Amino acid sequence: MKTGLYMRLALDGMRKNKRLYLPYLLACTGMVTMYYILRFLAGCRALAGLPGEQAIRTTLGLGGAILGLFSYLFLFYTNAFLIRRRKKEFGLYGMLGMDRRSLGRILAWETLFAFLLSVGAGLCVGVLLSHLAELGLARIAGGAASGFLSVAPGALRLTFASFAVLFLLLFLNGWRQVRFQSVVSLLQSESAGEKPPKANYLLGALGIALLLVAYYLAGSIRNPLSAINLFFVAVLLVIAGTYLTLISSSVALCRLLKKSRRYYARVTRFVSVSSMAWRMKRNGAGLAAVCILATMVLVTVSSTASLYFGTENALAARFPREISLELTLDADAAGDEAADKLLEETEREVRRAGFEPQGLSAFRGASITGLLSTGVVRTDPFSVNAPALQYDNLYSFILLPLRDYNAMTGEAATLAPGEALLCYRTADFPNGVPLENGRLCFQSETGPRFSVREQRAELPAGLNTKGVPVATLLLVVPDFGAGLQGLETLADASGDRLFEPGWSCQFDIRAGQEAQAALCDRLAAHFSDEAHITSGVTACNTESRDENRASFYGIYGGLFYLGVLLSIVFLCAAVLILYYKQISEGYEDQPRFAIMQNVGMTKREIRACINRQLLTVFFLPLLLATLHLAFAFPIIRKLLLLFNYDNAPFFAAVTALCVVVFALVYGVVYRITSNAYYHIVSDAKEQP
Amino acid sequence: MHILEVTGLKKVYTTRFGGNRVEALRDVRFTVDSGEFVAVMGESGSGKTTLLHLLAGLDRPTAGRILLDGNDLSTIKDAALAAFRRERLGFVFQDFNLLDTLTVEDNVYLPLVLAGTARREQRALLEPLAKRLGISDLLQKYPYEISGGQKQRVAVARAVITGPKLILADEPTGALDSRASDELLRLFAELHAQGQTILMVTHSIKAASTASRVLFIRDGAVFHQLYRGGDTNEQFYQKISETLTLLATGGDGR
Repeated sequence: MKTGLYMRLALDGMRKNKRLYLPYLLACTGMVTMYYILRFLAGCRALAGLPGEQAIRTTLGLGGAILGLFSYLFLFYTNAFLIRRRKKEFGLYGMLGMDRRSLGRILAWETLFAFLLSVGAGLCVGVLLSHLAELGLARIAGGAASGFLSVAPGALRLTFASFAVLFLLLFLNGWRQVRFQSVVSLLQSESAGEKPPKANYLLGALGIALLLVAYYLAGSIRNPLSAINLFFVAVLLVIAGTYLTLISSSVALCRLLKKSRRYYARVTRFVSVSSMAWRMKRNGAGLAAVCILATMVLVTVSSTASLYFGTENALAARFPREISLELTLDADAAGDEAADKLLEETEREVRRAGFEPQGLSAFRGASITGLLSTGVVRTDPFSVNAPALQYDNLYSFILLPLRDYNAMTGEAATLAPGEALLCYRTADFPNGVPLENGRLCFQSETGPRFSVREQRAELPAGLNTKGVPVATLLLVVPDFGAGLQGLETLADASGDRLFEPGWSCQFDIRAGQEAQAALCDRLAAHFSDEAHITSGVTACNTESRDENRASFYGIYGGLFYLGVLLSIVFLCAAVLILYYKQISEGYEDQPRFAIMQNVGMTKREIRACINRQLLTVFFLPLLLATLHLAFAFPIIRKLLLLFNYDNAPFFAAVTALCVVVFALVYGVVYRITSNAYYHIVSDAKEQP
Repeated sequence: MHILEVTGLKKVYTTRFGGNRVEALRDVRFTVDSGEFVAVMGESGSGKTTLLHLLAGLDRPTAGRILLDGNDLSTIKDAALAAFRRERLGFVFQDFNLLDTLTVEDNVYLPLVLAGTARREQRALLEPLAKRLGISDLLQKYPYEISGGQKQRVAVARAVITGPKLILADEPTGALDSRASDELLRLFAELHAQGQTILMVTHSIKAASTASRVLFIRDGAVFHQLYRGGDTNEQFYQKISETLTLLATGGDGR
């Protein structure tokens, strides 16, 4: 009986405040939907088989975690408006003799209803939309979608649990405020302004410090593989830093503006500054939320759009020539003469097929990946596959004969037997490669060793290392066969050779996709026959650029689609916040504008005040988001290297374009929400 | 000189779906001279508040004419009406209508800021006024931090700071306790003594007894009026009270 009363009171309260409750429930539903979609996509089947699948899943997972964290902040923010409103009512109930426990019960019912409504609706919409999203992804990237209306039970459970905890916290927060405030202060809470936080300057300094650390992290990351984790740390720091900075700076700004002489000169400034100061903390939190979402939209869209629109670039980088031929050789079949013979054969075969090879280049090489620490390269499986692998020390080593090096660079360098040249990129080793007594040893200090005569801070242009996610070191040896000796004994856990000498050759034939494919097949057949196998050519691999074009577009198109999808999710969240902010503040401000109209303010002045207020609210986050993006630029560029993407100017241009497009979309949202606000505010009955 | 001249004022409200027509004001005519302190009395629903809204230009009459300081309100456009209100009228409301977001000081400044008055002039106007109304110590506080009586004094300060021709007060003592009411009425009397024209709507006999003239409204028309003449507040109170009894028992003036 009594329970029924509390439930009815709770429902009644929600109905009476439906103007505030509806947008709130909408916001909650939106967050649930988005969270579920991200969680669903991270585990969805359509991703299977996409290259970089694991990286995409990790990124989606991180995106989900960030959105989850974000929904906590956001819903606490929106809930604050509601609590303010409800506190007055609770104060009245308290006045009528209801004890605090009963107030708590009403609050509990209310929270429960809000939870059930928003999570129920959010999951329904989420299941529908996520299915659509998966179908789209499968279509573009060519993967397989799950069957009819697939539901991911894991994602469902996770969403339900996260939001259950969130609503519990919301309830406790509301309860804390109702429990520990006197009835009178509850009654007055709606008209009380916010007090500036204590130690505002300290908080501001802390926020700026966090931002600086995050920016430093973003700028200092060298290796894209270890960058993913650090990136997440930087994102968390940026979120925290943005919140603190914006809250404290909006408080400081309000104070400063109120002190300025022009404060009283213009009515627009007078009204907008005072109402911003009145809810300065909520204002700062709202701005920070929008800013973070704007950053996320810009980062996802600009990076995936760069990948997609740069597909041709990536293709050209990955396949410098139309045809590429790679042969794996036995160590004794890798001499200079054998190499010359392979080149001759290749040219002959190409001509027989009716083409003239152009821009042909060929070299021998052997590569291995290992951990480098002062002169010793550890390649044993135990070290390389260790769980706590330090990506920062992982390098790809390429052993190259001096003759091929000279041919590539046009130099006439000479080396004595046992000596070697070591080439590196300055970006990877600003102070040169650290060696012990000028020696580079493999496996252990007593293993195969090379005496490095010279280090060169440049890799030959003909060497295609793009697409290799770790830094490359080139070891030039005078005699390939001799250099390989000893290294051949390095083997992985199953006894396979780690250091496989090979011969590779690239050239153009200026012909279409089918001709390229036919030539590839012809070359593969030629080098895979019995005679070649017995003479030491153990494997043959051919690739053509045009055959790979479709799959490149498939992959990058899929990524772009995911990026756009994510951006829509983030954009929706941002629009929700803006809309909620405008609506709830509109209802709060409505009586105020009515009073000002009575005192003699014209509708035009009201409009000007609103525009002024919204302008600050809208363009501050956009500015800060652009700043975040500028600092995230290097780290994103390095992450893009994982996808064969290395074209900084193009990326910069695409990013700039994204900022412009986003600003336009943002401007439209701005107009719409400002109209919504204006209608609410000017709808005030003209009543003294 | 008439500062306010109302003739044949009529206001008909139509309910939302056009059903019932409610005649709030039937035919109101009266004048207010410069320097008068007029109280308008009547029962709830007699049309007092409607009258005030029409006088303030917050609502348009169905028929009739309002001449305020020589200007016909019906000929002034909406945008100009706001400025007109700002310059010629001051308002004091029952529930104060102060802005939560502004300090007491800024609340008082609001009409001046709206009018674009220079900062120095704003200050020069506020200081003596604050002293006179006893709100000098409250200036930096926010409305929710001060008492009802104090809020109403702030509202009076906001109403008079522009030097309006006419102050319109709507039940100004309605939300105050008797001490705060007395204080406010003393303040009004003081303003009146300095030559301020005031029109106050009230149903408090006590409040009305401080005025120089009382208009009684019944069924949407001015039913009767009383001049103070040389009466003291107590004598005038007695007369008003008797008139109201007459009104309530259905004595007919028509």
